[in-house]
Amino acid sequence: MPIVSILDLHKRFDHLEVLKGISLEVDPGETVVFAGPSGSGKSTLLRCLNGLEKIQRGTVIVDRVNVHAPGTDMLDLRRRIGMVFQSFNLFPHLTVEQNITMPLTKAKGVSLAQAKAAAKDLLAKVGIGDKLTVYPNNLSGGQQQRAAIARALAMEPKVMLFDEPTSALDPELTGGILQIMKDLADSGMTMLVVTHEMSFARQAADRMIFMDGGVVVEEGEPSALIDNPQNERTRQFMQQIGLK
Amino acid sequence: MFFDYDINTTVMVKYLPELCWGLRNTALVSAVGMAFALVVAVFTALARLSRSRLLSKAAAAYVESIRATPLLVQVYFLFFGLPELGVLLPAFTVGVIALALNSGAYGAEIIRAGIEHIHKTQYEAADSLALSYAQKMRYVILPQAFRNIFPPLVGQASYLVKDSALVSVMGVVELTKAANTVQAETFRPLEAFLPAMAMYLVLILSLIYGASFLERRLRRW
Amino acid sequence: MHPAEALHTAFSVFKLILREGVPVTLSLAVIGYVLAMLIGGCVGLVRFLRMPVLSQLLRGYVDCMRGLPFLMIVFFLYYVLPFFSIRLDAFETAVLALSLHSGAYLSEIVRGSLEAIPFGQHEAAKALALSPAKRLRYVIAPQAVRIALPPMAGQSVLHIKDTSVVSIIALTEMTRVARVQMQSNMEPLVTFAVLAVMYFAVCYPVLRYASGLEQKLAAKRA
Repeated sequence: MPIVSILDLHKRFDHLEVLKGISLEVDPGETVVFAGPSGSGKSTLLRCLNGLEKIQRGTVIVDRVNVHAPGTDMLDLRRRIGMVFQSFNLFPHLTVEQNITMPLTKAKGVSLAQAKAAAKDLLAKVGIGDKLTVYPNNLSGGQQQRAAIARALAMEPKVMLFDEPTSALDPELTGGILQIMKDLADSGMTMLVVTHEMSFARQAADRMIFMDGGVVVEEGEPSALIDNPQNERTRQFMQQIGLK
Repeated sequence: MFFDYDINTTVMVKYLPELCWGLRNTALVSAVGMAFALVVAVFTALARLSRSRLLSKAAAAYVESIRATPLLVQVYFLFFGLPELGVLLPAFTVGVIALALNSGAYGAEIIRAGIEHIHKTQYEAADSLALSYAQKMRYVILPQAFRNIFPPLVGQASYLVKDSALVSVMGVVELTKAANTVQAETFRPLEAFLPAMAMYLVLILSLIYGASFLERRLRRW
Repeated sequence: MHPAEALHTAFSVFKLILREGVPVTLSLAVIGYVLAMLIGGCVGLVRFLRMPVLSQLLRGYVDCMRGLPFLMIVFFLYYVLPFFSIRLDAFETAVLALSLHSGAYLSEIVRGSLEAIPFGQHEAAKALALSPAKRLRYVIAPQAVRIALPPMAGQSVLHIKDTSVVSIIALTEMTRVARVQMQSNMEPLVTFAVLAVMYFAVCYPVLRYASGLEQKLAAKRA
């Protein structure tokens, strides 16, 4: 049974229709990469999954919860969905450790001692075990994104959403983040990833979905989609990506 | 010719108690004014940020009319206008009201800007981590807003102390009025003004420099 | 009071303020602010360049202006200067006080705007072999002006409002006209409401202009 099901999803910003009827399913443990030109709606799609965006039509079900139904307990839902943002969005007034312990104790009710242990463990895993007491603004972009991933993982989510996690990083810093994500995918996490990193898609993704103009244009096995796209728009996009 | 003004220290010392009394009243009217200004500012800012259009427009109109008219005119309006409406209050109280209404409007803008300055991604990050509305405000938004708001509010307090001199036009003997009275009695303006100015400088500059100290201090993140 | 009566009073107050007060207030505002900008520009530049001694002295001046009530400054100049054989009439005293006071605040705006230009701009200008004066003239100052403009417009509103304070030393400008008029018509609410509306009519557009400039600048930076 799929852990994420989207049926005929429509999303509009004022008069601009960004998603024009998206339907797809993601199985537990699967890693799906979303690609497509900017403005194709892939980030918006991700944000509809944990209710950061409201939708106009359709159904989104994550872990058996109907996300956009009127009485949905959003807090309960969001405890089960982790999100990593392009701009990290760490809380600047909290140390790296507090960025993890605060939501863990407040939103999940974990004891402070346990939260601290979890923070220490996870930060070590993402390679910044020595930055516990540092404020986010004193970290490099790569370190901030590592902390943000640790913060999301600390909540022990069933699904992880990655919204262009390496787009704001210098090229030499993206590799480390992608490796962490690949390890996470290998460990069996369900992941929905918006990214332009085709190497990541090839190595870590089970499936790739190409979007353009608010619809799914093509989907399939990542290497097949990258090397041998069937749709003209996909082909153009892959060429442009390849050229840069 | 230019420097032949001899400071008469005897006069200066003799009238010092009157200046101190003025200082006491300046401090008092400012402190009470600040307390009420803070209350006015918080409620006005909440009204401005509220989803009710009427409330938000009303608050904006109040802030704009305060910002676009001189404090002295506001003081006259209250001091001479209130009795016509049958409201008889001591000059000191009218002074507090005028200062609170005036600084409250500026304070409201500071608070509003401090909250609006927080980027929407911070709200989203808090949402994605399953924090409730109250938790989001308590642990994410307000601590950051506080840092944006507190130093400029202290700065605004320095303006309030400066402005408190205008309360003198209603006959409240605060520091400026006290100094001017001493000057008129003795015909020795320097002996009257220099100590008064020193008192003001200590009071107001400590608020100004306190504000920039806080600004730097709170910027540890 | 009957509404028609109130309207009549309001109109006669308005005419009186317009005729006897507005010209003086406007001259105070314009002359005072032009001088203030000269003072602010010079003081701000000297402090930006950290010229020794002069910079410290001017910091003292700025702190005095920021740390004293404007009324106190007016009184000081009005009563102390004659003792040093400097005889100014009320108008001249008012212009002096206004320009010294606003000038100090403007100098802080000028200094802050100059300091806000990133170091890279100085370096780029140096690398292009521009002399220090030319770096300032062609690279730093033009960018600083854009940053300084919104707060300078905002400061002008404070300046206009401060002109009302000099009515206390018996200078007949808008506020004084209203104050005197109130004593004869005994209608404080109407009289000061008219006065307030007249100030508002001048200050509000400037406030809006200033915040418009600020938003434009913020949008450009984002």
